[in-house]
Amino acid sequence: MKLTGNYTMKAPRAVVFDTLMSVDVLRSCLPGVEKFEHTGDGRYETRLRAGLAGVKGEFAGTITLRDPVPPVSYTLAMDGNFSGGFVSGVGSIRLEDLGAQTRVEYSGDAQVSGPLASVGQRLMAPAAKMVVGKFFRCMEAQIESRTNSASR
Amino acid sequence: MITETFEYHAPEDVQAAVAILAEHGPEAKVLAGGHSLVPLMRLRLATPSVIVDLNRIPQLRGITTENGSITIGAMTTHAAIEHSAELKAMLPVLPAAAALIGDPMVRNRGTIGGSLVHADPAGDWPAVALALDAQLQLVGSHGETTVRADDFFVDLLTSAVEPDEILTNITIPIPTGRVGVSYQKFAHPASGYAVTGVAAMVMLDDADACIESRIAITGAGATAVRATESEAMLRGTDLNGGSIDRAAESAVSGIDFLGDIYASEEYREQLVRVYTKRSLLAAFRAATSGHGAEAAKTI
Repeated sequence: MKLTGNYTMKAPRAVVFDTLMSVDVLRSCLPGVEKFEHTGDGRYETRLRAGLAGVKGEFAGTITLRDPVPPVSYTLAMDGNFSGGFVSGVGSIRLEDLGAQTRVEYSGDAQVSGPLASVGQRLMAPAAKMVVGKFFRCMEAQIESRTNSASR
Repeated sequence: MITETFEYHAPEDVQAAVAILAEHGPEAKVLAGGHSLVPLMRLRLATPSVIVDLNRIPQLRGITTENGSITIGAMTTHAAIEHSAELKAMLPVLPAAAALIGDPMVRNRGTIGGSLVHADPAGDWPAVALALDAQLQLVGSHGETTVRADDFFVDLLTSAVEPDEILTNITIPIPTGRVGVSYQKFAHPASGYAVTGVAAMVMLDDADACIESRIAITGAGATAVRATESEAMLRGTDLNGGSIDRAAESAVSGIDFLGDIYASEEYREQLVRVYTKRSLLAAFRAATSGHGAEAAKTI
């Protein structure tokens, strides 16, 4: 499953990069976080549980943030169990400087197996896109609240 | 496979159904026709612990006409809509669109309310409901609310219905004057789902100029959406001229297209252009011929 897209945030690039790397922000913006613990080298033991239309999606495994080039890019890898199957994927995230704004471009490819992947194939990519969209909106709100409290 | 165990409730009125939902919260799932839910349960992808079956609530079924609008009970099957003589006379796009859904087995069990609440990105009814400015009545533990179709489809597989609410009725104003409505879809050859479907309503004055139009697209993005920019472009124009072409061209703006192994994002974008044009032309033909509605599908 390929996933590409972009999201423009109303914040300068350095701020967006720091936020994307912040454990606290990630923990509060990932969907249905039950566990998100740093185990070193950018690896996080993760358990996520989210639902859509009565179907529960569960992920248990590692998320790795690697090759960071502040404030331009990094690589995100995901490996683990996914709702009775497996998921293994790598994505690259690039931040483009637009002055007061930043465009986050993401592009990734994931191998997903198991019953949800085979039956729900038609809806997997849009569901993933929806999760990513929610994640970035949450992140934008976090940046906004941080900037507001800093300027006070 | 056999489903996970669940507690089964078959209430006989809406209030009882709502009370069960309020008690169990998001763990409970409403069963309508079951054509989306039951396969997911049998694969154990969906494992709700409580099922609230609405099939024994008679007041949720049926079609009534009153004060210039049609009210369809949420548990009315696609087949009942397809074969309704009343609808064929009053708002023929509804039976015509119903006839394009899935296959006879799906139409005999599947319901209009189930389809709307499930908000499948490739469902047919969402586009039709948007184009006809339908009002959706919800009943929950806090009382009744009415939601316009425009505000109903929130996101992928997400409608405005809360876990403790039930969609009870769909009310559609019967368009008057020189009005034509059309639903045209490119159907997935196996499932019958709309790879792209476009519903269009046009209202004309005596000189064939467009007074108002509504265009709604399903299958293209995460939810069904209206092409408001295209609607604005048509207002006041003579639909015999090139305005339909221009409106079809701009219908793609603002859609974040889905892509899958069957139809890429670019392909869906082109389908939206082609089917918006076909649907507008068919609606225009229906308005000028006085026939009222057209619907067709391509596989």
